[in-house]
Amino acid sequence: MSTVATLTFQSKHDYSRSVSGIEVPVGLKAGNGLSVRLLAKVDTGATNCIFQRDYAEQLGIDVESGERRTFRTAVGAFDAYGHTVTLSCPVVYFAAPSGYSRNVVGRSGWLDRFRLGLVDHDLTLFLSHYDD
Amino acid sequence: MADALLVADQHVDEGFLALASPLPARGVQSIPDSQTLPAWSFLHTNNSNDRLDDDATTLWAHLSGARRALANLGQVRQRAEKDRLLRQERQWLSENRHRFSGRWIALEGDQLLAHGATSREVFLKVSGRATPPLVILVADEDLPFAGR
Repeated sequence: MSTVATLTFQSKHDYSRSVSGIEVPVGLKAGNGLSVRLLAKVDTGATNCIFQRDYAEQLGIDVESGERRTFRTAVGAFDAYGHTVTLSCPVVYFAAPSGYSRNVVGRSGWLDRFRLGLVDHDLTLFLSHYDD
Repeated sequence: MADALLVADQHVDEGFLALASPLPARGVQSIPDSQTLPAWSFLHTNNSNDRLDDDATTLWAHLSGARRALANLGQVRQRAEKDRLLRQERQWLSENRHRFSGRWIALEGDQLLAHGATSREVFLKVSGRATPPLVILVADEDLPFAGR
């Protein structure tokens, strides 16, 4: 017995096999109107969305003034600070260490707000807001 | 949906949507003449007021649908433009990423706007632009990634 589900998506992203991980375009906008565009990796194992502190600085955000949270990884832990920006996420985290070089969109604030279809064989990701 | 938008686009070109107010239930006089709106000419030859009501209601429903499609058209075009830029940026990155490993770059479509050793100098070079370019640190992809 099989289950048939039909999903429709608003957008389709092709990603590259030459890059590790699956990257999606992300725009962040601060309350002061400043905005940045970047690429972030989809990480279903990440609890939150975490970005390099360089973007916070460009947005005029004082990283350490946010809500501090420690994230654990396979090889250690690092601190990040939560801030409110305009994305799909109400709160994103900016890594405290300047050496942190990855941007990830995780479950809270991103995956839980989108519907996502993935066909890795074709290097294609389908995306819609949950309500679309 | 794409068909509806295309139709809406054509209606704009033809001045179809110049008719901006709802049709009265009965009122041939207020319906634009056949020169303004050729598609309505059949109304003048229909002697049945009930039929006229039905036709007007149907036309108004189509017109409302076209208006809704038009309202979305701007968003659709914006999204298409964003998608075009993204495709160009991905293409550029797939062809040139290796040349900028470890460096910050600013891209807009297939145009490299700036590159540098730090994000600060790259952001400085592209400041003041109307729309923010894509700014990223090009990661060293020599080793496969095992997850965080």
